[in-house]
Amino acid sequence: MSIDIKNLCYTYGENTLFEVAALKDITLSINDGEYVALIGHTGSGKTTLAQHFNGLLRANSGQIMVEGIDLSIKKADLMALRQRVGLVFQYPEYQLFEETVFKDIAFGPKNLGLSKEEITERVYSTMELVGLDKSEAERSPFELSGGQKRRAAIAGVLSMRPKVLVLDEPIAGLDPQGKEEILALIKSYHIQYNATIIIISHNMDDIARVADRVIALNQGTIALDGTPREVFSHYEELISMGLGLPTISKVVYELNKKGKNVPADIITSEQLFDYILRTAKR
Amino acid sequence: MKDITLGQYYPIESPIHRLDPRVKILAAFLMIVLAFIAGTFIGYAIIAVLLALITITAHIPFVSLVRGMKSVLFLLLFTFILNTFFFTEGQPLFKWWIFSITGQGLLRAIFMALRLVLLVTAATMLTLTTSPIALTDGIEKLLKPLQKIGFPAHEIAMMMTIALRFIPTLMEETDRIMKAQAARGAVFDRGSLWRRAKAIIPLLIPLFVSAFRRADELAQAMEARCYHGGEGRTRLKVLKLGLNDAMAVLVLLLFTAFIIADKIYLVPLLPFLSGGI
Amino acid sequence: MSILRVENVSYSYNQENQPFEALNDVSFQVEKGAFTCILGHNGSGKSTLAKLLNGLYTPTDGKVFVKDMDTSIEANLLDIRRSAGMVFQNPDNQMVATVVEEDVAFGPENLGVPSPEIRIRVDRALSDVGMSEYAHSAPHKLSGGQKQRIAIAGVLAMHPEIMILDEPTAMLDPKGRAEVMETVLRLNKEQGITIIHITHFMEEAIAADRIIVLSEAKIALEGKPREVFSQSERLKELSLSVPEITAFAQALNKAGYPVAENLLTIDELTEAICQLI
Repeated sequence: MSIDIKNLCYTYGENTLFEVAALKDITLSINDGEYVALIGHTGSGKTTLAQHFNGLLRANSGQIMVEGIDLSIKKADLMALRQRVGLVFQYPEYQLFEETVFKDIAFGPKNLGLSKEEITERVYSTMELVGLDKSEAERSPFELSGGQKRRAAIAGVLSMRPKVLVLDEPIAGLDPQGKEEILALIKSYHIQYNATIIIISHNMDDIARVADRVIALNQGTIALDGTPREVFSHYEELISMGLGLPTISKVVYELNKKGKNVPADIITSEQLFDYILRTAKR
Repeated sequence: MKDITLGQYYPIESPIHRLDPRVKILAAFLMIVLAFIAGTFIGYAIIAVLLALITITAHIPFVSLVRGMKSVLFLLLFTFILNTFFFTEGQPLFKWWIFSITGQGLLRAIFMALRLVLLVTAATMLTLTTSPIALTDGIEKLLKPLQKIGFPAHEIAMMMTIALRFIPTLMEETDRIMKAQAARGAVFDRGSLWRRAKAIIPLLIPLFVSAFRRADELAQAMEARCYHGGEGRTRLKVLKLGLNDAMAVLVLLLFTAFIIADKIYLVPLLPFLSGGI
Repeated sequence: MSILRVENVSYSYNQENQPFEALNDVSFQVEKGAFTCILGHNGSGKSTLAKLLNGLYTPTDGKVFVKDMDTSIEANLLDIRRSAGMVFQNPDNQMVATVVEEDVAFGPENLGVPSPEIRIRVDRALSDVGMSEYAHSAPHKLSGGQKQRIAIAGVLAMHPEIMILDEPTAMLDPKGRAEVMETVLRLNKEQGITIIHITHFMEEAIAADRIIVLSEAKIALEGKPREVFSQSERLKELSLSVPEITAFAQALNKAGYPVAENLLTIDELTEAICQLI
């Protein structure tokens, strides 16, 4: 098991005037190599949950076991955890700081205590993985284009070779082409290293295409958990939680409102196309 | 975290809270000056009564005042000890090695310490009853006449407003960057002083870069909304002095009269109450 | 009647000591009350174009006229920026004040509008964007969509004829995006404000009167939404995508079904499919 959580509760500002219960009784398990999408309205607890996966936040109660490390023990080995679980924040390019792209991507491996040779190998192989040319290595990260900066920042996490990669809205603010590039590199890492991917996103069309599993959070609890087709067929529930749907799901919903009886778990263009092919009156 | 505002503003309704910020700023100044010119402990008692009156009228719980004192506790202690041991006029009460404590010295030390307490209380009352925005507006209005001699009162007020506006935002960003770097194995709270100083670089540089970017974007946004300095600017809310303000000023003048009377008449009569000043 | 004219505009600047051309000989006109959408991938020149429209940048070649006022003449700038208000991409970096209503008042304050009139404008603007109950909130407590609506209110309070929105939804979640688009469309329909909306989200261009597609510093495509989106091959070449609905309609059409290629909305597609199954 990659991640095993039982009855996790987390409250911001516990015992102060500003107490806010962010996560209530969360129980879930994520297996090795799964590609999971975490969805939920703003404030539902997605980012809070994500920060528990690498020990940035510690639960108030409940058990949480990540990659074999028990996080209910106070002295849990956080350094080992942060090597195994990489967390890419929203707009990760805002964390770039080093003099050169090389040094910034090397920051993680350096903190892990890798040798100079290992670090060099890691940096260059990761640059290749994210599509940054070797020639950019000695440039200042602040001179890169917007898209390159984001890839350099993600590289800074991938260079630690995490077994679990958590990404908080990795395609926020990107244009269609930039979005495809980032999703592709996440997919490469997923396949090449059999990594567990946990992606927080609002883009239901993308999730419908790439994720194996969708977990929907609503006000701190898990409301839905299943394959994309299973989860997105719950239209009314998703809408009542303030969530969107894949575009095709919306079309299917409208078709069913007109009495057309289209299977509710059709969520992509390809699936709808196939369905029409099979059932069109000709 | 996001709800912390500067100077511990206590947001409730009260006659003091409603006073014009200019009156409150000048009142704080006046009380500080009075704390220095008061001649005797009785003078201090008068100021203390005034402060107590203000505290009660402002519906401020006593605890808040005490909390304000916590930050200067060290200074208070230091002042007291310094004056006790280094002012050695008069009969020694207690002698140890080269240090001696005299009656006069002790009195003076208490006097000095009390003065500090009054100063801090006056300043604390100001920030407890006046919101940061009101303070900025008040300061701008008070400094405005200085613009004639080239003092940039408007620009300074604008800078203060923008700084106040961005403090919570920058705090969130600091938190985010710290977490992002911690996720990459950065450690901020262990090691030697040197180690910790080095560890701050991955936090400071992104913050600085971000701050410059924000400033750039904000400047463009301000220009796009026709900002062109203080010339010809009007305001949504105009500070107007009212009856309450006039009454507050009268009360202040009354107490000032008492303090001056104390200094002139009582000091020669009761020198032992004057803390040896 | 053209309220905005862009005539043979080029803009280049130095990047690492090399001249970089952001825009090359771009010309178009905008009619009063129109909703124009400018599309383009990141780096196509669209953000540069936005800032040329209200005089934040001056063209290195060619001219921009807002209500017949030349943007390169400094004396015109205040008038131009009042007439053509701008909303920027980053919701945080365009808010100046610590309280929402004070931020909305910023524009009118800069224009020297008398205080009682500012009050009326602020209240009206907040009501227009549906944020009246947040008048006394602090900006950092608002969601992205709410912050952008406050930014729009800040522009509305200046009574502009044109509103330029430079990728206003790029940093928002779907809810915020919907809020902003709904507000902008309503202002266009109800108040006749000329809208120039710059974005890379194809779906946002569906409701536009006209789309201008920028690529590599030039205008690559132009026309009504249906005309532009039917050219899927060309759009792919320009690193843009076709809205999912239109792409699906095109796929059905290509497969021989009687479905129009240029469908834009969910309703239209639903209707078309209903005829098939």
